[in-house]
Amino acid sequence: MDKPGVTQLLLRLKDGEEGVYDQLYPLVYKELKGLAYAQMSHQSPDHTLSRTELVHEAYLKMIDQTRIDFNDKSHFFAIASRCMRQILIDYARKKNADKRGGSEKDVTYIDQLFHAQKEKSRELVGIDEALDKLSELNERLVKVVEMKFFGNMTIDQTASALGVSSSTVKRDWIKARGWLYRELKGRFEIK
Amino acid sequence: MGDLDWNRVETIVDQALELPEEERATFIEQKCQGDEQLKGEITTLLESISCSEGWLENPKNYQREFYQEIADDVELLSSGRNLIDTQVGSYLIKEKIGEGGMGAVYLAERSADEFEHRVAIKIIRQGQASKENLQRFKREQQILAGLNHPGIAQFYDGGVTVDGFPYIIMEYVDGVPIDEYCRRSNIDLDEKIELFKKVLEAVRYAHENLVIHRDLKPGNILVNSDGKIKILDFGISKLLESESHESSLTLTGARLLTPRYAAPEQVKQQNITTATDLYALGIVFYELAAGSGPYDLENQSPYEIEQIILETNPKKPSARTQIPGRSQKLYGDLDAVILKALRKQPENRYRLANEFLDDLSNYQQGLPVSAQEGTFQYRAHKFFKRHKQGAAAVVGILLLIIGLTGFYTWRITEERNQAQFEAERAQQIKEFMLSMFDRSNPDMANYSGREQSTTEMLIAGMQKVEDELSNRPEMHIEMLASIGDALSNIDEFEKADQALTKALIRSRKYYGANSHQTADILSDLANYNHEIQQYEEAENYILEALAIDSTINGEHSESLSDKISIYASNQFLQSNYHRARQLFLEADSLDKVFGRTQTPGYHTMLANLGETELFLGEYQQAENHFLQALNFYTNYYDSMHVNIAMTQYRLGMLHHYRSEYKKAETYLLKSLDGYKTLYGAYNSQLSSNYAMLARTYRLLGDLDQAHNYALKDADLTKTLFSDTSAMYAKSLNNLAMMQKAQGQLKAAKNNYEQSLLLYQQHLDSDNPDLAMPLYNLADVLMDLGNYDRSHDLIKRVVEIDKAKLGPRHPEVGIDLNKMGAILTKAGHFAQADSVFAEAEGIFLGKFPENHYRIGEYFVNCGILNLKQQNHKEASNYFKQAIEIFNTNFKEDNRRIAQAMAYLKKSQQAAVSSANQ
Repeated sequence: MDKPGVTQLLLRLKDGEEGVYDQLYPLVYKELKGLAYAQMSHQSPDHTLSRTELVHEAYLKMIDQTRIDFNDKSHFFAIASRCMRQILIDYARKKNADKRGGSEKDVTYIDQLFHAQKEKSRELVGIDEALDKLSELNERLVKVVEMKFFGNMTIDQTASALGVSSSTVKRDWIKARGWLYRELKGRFEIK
Repeated sequence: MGDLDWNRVETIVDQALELPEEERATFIEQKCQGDEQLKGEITTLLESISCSEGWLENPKNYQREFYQEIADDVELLSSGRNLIDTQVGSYLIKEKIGEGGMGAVYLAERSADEFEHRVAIKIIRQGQASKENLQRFKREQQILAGLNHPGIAQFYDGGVTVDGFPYIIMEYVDGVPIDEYCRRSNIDLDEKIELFKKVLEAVRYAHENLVIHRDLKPGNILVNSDGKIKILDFGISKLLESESHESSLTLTGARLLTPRYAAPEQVKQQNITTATDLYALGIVFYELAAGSGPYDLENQSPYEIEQIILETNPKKPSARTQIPGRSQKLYGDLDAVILKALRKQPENRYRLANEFLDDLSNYQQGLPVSAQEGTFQYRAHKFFKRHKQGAAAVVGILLLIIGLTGFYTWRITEERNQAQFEAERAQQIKEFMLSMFDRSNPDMANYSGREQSTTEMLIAGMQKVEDELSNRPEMHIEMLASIGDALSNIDEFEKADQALTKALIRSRKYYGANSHQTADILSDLANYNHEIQQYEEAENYILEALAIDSTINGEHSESLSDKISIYASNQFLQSNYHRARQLFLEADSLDKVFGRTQTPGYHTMLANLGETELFLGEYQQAENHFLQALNFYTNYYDSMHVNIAMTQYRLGMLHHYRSEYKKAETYLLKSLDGYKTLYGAYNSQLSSNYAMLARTYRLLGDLDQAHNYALKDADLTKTLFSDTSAMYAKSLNNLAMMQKAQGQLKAAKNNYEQSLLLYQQHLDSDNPDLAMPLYNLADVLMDLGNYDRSHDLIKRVVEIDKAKLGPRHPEVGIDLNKMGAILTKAGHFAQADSVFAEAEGIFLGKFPENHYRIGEYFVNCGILNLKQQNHKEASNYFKQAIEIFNTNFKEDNRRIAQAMAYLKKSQQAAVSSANQ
């Protein structure tokens, strides 16, 4: 879809039109994933592209700047956050699946590195599953985690996207974090 | 948390967070008004909030690795970096000489020495250097480095590049692909055969060293300027194949095969064996000899190509060649040789390069080739050896060919007068079949491969049924089912499937889905699926058959019994032993109710029940059932019969498990004689007998005999199944066991490792059959002092056995006993103690009184106590052990001597510690 089309969708989303989210989401997902891969191919392995840059780039590519103000941008970022959650979790799951079945033999330095990585990806999958559970209690807490953690959005951007105050976002974040921690501790060595 | 009001939780938490910490408890107390659940929820959430301070605040930590990985993948997808002039090992990369799905091949030079040395370097860009891959890679390298043959490009070295990609350095070969060479040099058929024999010799050498190529094709078989062949990439595709599971994005390389040369089992992603390589060579040879391959694969979709490989029987090369005058040369022997290499079922092909070589040499010398002979013997043997339905089905075919006379009154599934019938008919069939195969038979003028003709005959029969019987549905269905059974008996599984499926469809239409005829065909399909080891599929068929039968005849009918018995076998084959026993018992009571207990079928069922009980460790019942069956068979059959030999073998096994080795020996020797009488000295059945005898002699203390039988077994399986087969893995394992008993620990360890490696190639990583090789390797590693690896292995064994047999099975007790011993030796006394505690219940509850395994368990407990300075307890354990051993073994048995020595040691230690 072309730039005006996507921009139009975003504006309609802001107006609360039904079904627009479902149209917009796959577009942003595809774009982000494509961007991630395209960009990475030019990076040297030790340079990590920040995620904020990535979303920003997607935004610049997909949205006509002249028609959108700051608040609308937050809506886009909110969708992008959700997409990033999915991209990362898909990755983590696959990684876990790939590594399963290896026998635990002599542990070497390399093994420990792999082990550490595996832990992080497991933890991510754990967070994802816990979030699904949390969404039955309070959907907004989940959105806050998505935007702040998966989407790297600031408190203000998150507040704007959700249409609540910044202090509410802060409180939500603390509660969600505590709730996730309680769900996951014991399963992972957190921190 | 079902009835918890989450909104309230959040509200109170929000408010509490506003308060100073010391005031929160009172606040919550007051808000919750005695609602303990609510209070608990709020308190733990607040605790978690303070504990998790800072957690998840830096998402980058989580994301970095994933971006890193994406970046790596992208790098792999991209066209590749320029490696020219890069240093790899001590070589400098000069130019790229090839590129494949997995990576690229470079020409590299080492000029540091006085003379220049040119090598080919293959850099594998697929997949990361993960832990598993690196270990595999190291192992494979050792194998490949040991491969020294003039016909195989020499492997020099391997390693991992700076950015983590495995690479291989090998001999650089300047040559052209074999097909191109033949075209260019315009050599004649005899010269081509000579050249091809060199290829086979090289492949034979690799196979003998347990390396399978997996991707043989003209592009990998080069001929250099001296006219010498060199095979590239031996064993390398295996390395790559496993790595392709790791790769996340590249689907393109996920299945590494060159369709034109891929064997059916590769298309189906089943076990790869030496026969797979020989299939590929069959195609190569076909192309060289006939000028084009057996199939037209141009302009076909990948799916169509796969179907052709799986389904289409190759035309004879003589029928396909366009080369003038070539057809006559190929006709006959060479046709047969080439088609034998291309059979769909690996076990029907050449399994050893030697067999292929011999046939080509025989052809050159005008001697008969094996592809033309022996197959009938093999087939006929299979025909008559098979169960009753098989023989009956052949009669069906016979009648069909003679002209469908007198068939109306006869039903194949009836087992009435089975034995007499079998004896009479077998002779007739044999004569008839032999006349069919007589070369002087004018009807057979077009016939070129005997075994192929049997198949063709059945398939023609199927066609005839289709053409002539379609308006007589009852006959039609009956005949299709018979032909299906017969095809299944000669391992024409695809065609058998077709016939049975057609019969099923027609029967459902004609008799209805809920008819006993349909149910019978479903039972046939279940049996057929057992043959091809599709147990789940079989279960579906037999369950449907059972449902139909009980709808029509009720829950307690006579006809239900056979089907329940098939279902029981199905459960046994799927390792559900408890369920299997329950079902066998149901069938048993039905047979008793309907007075069907005087048939061989009933006793086959009883013996199967016995075997199930054997697996369940219920030895007494198993023995009763075996003996009952054996008594019946010996009265029933006039001469030796497979049922007799098999039951004797089972009794041997039973007595072995019960540590009654003398009795075991007697039965096993009887069974061995029986099988030899029935099938001759080279039969796969003998393998189990040899193995069991070896183990029995070992436990009787006759180590030479034990070693002798283990060797016989290894020789047999190597000859019959090749040295990469699972059967050979089993033999190696057995041989290693005997070597260990003789004190050759290193040799034993090597054979165990080799055996485990083969097992792992043949079985999934969670397959219960892996327990045995893992246990044995753990055992010898313990003796060699490698406790950590030993413990890791035994841990897996315990897991596997518990899952397969239940947590309190005698086998699990034996596993735990070993685990305890390993932990004791490694100095982990507390862990050992708890493992022994778990084992105790099993040993005292599940083993027969005074079983020597209990003695072994006591010895291990004694050793642990001795190490922990509990001298009195230790002495008690050793005394009990000696008592038990004395009832099992002669005085000079090493177990007794060992336990005595320990007892002395602990008593002395007790005295000296008392003196201090």
